[in-house]
Amino acid sequence: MKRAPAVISTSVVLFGIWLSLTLSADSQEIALGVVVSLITAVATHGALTGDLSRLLKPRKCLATIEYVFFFLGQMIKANIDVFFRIFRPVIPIKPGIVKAKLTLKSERAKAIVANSITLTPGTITIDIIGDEIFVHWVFLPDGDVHIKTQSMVDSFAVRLENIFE
Amino acid sequence: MSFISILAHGLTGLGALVLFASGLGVFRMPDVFNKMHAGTKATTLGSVLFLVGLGLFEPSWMPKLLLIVLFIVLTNPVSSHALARAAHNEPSEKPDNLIIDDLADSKGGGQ
Repeated sequence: MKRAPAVISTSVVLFGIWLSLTLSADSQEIALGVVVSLITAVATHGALTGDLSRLLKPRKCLATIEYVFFFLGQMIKANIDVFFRIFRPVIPIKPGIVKAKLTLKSERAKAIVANSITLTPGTITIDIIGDEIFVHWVFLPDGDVHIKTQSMVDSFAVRLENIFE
Repeated sequence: MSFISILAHGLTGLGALVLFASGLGVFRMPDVFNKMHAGTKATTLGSVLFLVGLGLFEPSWMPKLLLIVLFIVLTNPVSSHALARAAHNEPSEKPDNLIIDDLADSKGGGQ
């Protein structure tokens, strides 16, 4: 049973979703929720979340919480940035697509980096080819754009490495 | 008026304002990738603020609304990637104002 941790993680997450959707403490509903989430997790081989048990270690748990707050801060900054850009009479743009290297191995981590970059100030991810990520800037930074892009990608990648490896 | 109620009004109002800015951004930005910037970031935070504010009005809806928030935060960027990638693969959609385009260079080198 190599897949057991992943299946259990997935069924715990699914059961949490079940609880917040039904919002009832009725024992029959809860029993049905446990059964349904277990069946779904076994049927999908735990593909939804993977093994979450290592997140229970205090260090990884702290790293995850830190990442969430870092991400939320970046997201709010991004919106302030978009907001002040849009209401200018002439929108200041200097667009460009720049590539950067991704050192992360896990496909899940790559997807999280790409999603995070899309929601942070001035950048969206266009594509990932192999270990290269292509980022679109609405306003290219001054100086060497490749170094700036790499350090922006790394600020996410380093934090995710703490969580995933 | 309680503090929670004021906070709820503030959050829904701010969410609506951010969503308005997002719509205006999609209208005003000159090309497809820059439109994507306004259409992804601002709609995500706008919906999050609006739904959390709504949850403060009706605390019993909060768990379901938080699920919707999680779903929006996870899926909005994915749809933006799909659109941006498709736009980059379509030559007629390609804006001519790009100062640097590494993706086209690396595609051209691969062929």
